[in-house]
Amino acid sequence: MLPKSLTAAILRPIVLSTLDCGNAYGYQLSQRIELISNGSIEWNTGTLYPVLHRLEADGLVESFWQESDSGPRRKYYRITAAGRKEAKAEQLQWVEIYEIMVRLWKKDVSFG
Amino acid sequence: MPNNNFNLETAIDTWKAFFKHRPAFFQDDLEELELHLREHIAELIQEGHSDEEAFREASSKLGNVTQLDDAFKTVVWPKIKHKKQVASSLLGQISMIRSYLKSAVRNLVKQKGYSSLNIGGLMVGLACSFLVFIWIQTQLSVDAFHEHADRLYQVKVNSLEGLETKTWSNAPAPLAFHLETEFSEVGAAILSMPIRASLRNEDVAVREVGFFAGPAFFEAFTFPFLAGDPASALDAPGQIAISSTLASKLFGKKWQAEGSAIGELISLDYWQSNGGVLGNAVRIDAKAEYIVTGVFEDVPSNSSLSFDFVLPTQDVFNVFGHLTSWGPRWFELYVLLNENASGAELAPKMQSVLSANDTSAKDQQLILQPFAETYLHGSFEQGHPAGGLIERLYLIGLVGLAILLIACINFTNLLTARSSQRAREIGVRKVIGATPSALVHQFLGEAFLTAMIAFVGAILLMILVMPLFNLATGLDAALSDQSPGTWLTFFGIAVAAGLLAGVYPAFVLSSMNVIRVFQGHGGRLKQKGVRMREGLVIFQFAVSVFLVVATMTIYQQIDFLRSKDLGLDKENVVMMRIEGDLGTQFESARTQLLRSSAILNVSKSSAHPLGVAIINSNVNWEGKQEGDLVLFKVLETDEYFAETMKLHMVAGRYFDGSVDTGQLNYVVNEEAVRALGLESPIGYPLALGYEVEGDGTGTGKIVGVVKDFHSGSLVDQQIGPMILRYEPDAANFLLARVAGDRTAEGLADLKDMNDQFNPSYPFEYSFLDAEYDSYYSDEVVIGILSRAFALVAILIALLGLLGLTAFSVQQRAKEVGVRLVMGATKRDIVVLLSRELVQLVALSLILALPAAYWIMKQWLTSFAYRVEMSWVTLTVAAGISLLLAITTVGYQAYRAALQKPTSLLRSE
Repeated sequence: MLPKSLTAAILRPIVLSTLDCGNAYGYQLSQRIELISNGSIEWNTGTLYPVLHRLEADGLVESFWQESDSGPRRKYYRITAAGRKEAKAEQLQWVEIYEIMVRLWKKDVSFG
Repeated sequence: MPNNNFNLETAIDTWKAFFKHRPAFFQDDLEELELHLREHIAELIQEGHSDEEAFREASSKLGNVTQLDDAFKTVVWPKIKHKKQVASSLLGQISMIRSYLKSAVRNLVKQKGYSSLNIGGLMVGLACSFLVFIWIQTQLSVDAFHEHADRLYQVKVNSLEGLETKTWSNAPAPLAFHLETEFSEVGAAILSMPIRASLRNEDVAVREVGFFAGPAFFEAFTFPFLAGDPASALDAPGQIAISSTLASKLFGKKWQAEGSAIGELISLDYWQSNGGVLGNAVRIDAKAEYIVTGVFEDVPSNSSLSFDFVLPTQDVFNVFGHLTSWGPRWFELYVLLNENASGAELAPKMQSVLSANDTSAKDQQLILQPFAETYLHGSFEQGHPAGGLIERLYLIGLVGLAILLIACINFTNLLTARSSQRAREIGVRKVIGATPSALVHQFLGEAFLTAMIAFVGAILLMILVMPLFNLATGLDAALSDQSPGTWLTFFGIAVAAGLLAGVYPAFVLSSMNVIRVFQGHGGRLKQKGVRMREGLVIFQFAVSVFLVVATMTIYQQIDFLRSKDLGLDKENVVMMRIEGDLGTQFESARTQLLRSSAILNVSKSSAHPLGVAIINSNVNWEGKQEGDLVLFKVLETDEYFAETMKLHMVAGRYFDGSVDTGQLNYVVNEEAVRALGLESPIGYPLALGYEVEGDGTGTGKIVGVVKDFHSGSLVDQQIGPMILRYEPDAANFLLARVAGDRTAEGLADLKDMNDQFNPSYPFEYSFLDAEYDSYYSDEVVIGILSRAFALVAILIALLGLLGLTAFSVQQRAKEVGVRLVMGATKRDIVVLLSRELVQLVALSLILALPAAYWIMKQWLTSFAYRVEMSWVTLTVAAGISLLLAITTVGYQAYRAALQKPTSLLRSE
């Protein structure tokens, strides 16, 4: 279980990268995140929406309403080109952090 | 334990209620959250959970109100704030504009008197300047419509005569042939000679003006054709091109309904020409048949050439073979250059052709003037263009501009004058946060709105006065004919006037000091505004006074021209052209006319007595030295002329048919006696060169001297030497003196005579005094315009003065009240309130009168005969202006003085 503080930090890149895998509406998106994290993230799925709105305000995702055959109409989210670029940049940052941590854990350092 | 009372929808509604009215959630967000919740619930139910369990699990997973509220707020606050900002600034702007408009309209309505002064003044000024604009535009468009106007030139001749170089419009005919054949840059050289002719088709006879012109006439002057081919209409003798109107007159329905005129025959009974400048009037009884080869659209009013028919020059040459030589100058000559050819280069080449062929022309120099310029730049001095109508164009343009300026000034004046009344409003606006720029916008907006109302008013006013305008200027203008460009210009002028007038008050008002405003004085505005206002009032009245002086002088001059003793009696003389059988049966006709008691006398002459244009330099007299040059006007008459025209004989006798027939006996005027230096003129040898062999005088002699009389326009013709010759057969005009009180009767008798002796010609006549008056139609137009301008200028200036006085009365109401209480008389009050403005008007008189005196004196010098500028004119103009100003100002002041002091003191 990830603590809340970490969730808050990581939710934005997770949402962005999840959307990078395909358009989704809110509930669908929360399901996908649950699925990918094996339920290890502790969060209120409602907090997903402020994140989406912020991303939308920053021009990284865009939304559109779509009628569905089966249920009510849904608001879908789609990553923009700028969002894709941002996801890539965040990926590099996370990889960097990960590599730093790995080196520390392997004691592969000398603080001479 | 499951709760059987649980209802999912109620639960969801309750859940929703928590979120509603939380500012962080918009409708969209709620819908999205609800969808999320419902979908999760549905899934859980499908997994086997009860409704209640599913709701609890899903809603707790989604998060409660507090948690979500915080999360949403971080995103939503900026959104909310922005929305509010946009909305409030938009609302603010709309309400600001509404408030501007409201206060503008309110101000206009509240101050009805002031508004109508303001709008009315500007309206009149705009209308006036628009009309001037239309007039100037029409003048500038004259002759510009010819397709090749840029390549079309007129050949003129500078001729050195003594010390003076005169510029003639007539050129030798052979020059045209040389130009066309020898110079590659010349596309066509067109000779033309204005004539007047009688044209007949069966029993319809008309007299019209037209041209003999070279074959390329319609190629150079692109008057549109309705039928026929312009290129070939004049290329053979016996062809005629006529105007649409003439075709209607001669062929009636045949032309109007069927449009057929080509190939019809027209018979030419006679034609006559002045025969150029130095030639003789000729009248040719042609009796020739012409075939119609072209019908052109009526010549537009903006053409300086005016004609109803054109005949080929070949027909003149067939009658007057000598015209193809270099001596006679009967024709005007136009040159159409080829593209890219230069008129400046052609001129010297032309000169060499003239020098090589005409040895007598050594004192003559050929010049080319662009045809489009000949109308406005028709005057030449010492061989160089020296203005012409263009000067009048400038003058009237300037006056139009001055009037527009006066109107704008009024506008500005009234606006600033009232500014201190508006100071409170401005103060309040500033206090509640209006920026100076917002105030500038407001005042400019107000000025603009007023200007737009004035603009619409000006257009209505123009529609109203258009007939008068056309009457005065001889134009045929209509508002509906104006181009979009013209309308745009009008609109631009109105907007510019509004803004120009609004700019000063706008900036002054917006920069006022709020605190001082509330303390009750308009800040520094007062001083500045007053100085500006004074200057403007002075300018306005100076222009008005100038125009009044100008108008009075112009009318005095016109009156002088019309009523001057001409040396003959021009009143009650009816003129008819002698044509058809009237020429041969004149004696019988005269006898019959004299039987009528309404007709006092009948005579005939070659030209009408006030239109003698023939000048002859070929006169011989005893003792004439080589090089002596005296130009004589020549008039041919019968023996009754002196009697009929009431000429005074100074010495000798007038003609006597029984004595003078076939004799070289002449009557001269006093000026001729003076020019020849004769002491005892009677019997002195003198002869017209063409009547005798060689340079002698033959049996020619002077038999009488007539007192000088005018024989042309007083504008430019000094009385010069004149020779009268006895030649009844050369006469063109019948002159009948009718009894002053029996004009109608006399005309009826003349018509009877015409119907009897000349049935194929319609009875056409004119009055000698009317012909004479028509010489001054230009001056009359200027007079009318100047009077209109003066009226408008004074009207606007008085409106302004009215507004300013009203304002000053209002402002000083308290002071007046106190003074009245302290015992001031009404007279004191009137003096107090009007002194300042009347002083300004007086100052403007001091500036304007000398300027007007000088400029009008200059104008008068352009007349051969003129009135003197008199101090009476200036005094009267000054008196009128002062009287009007004092009345306007005094009336308002008097009204203020009549009020009860208590109501004045309570005025604020």
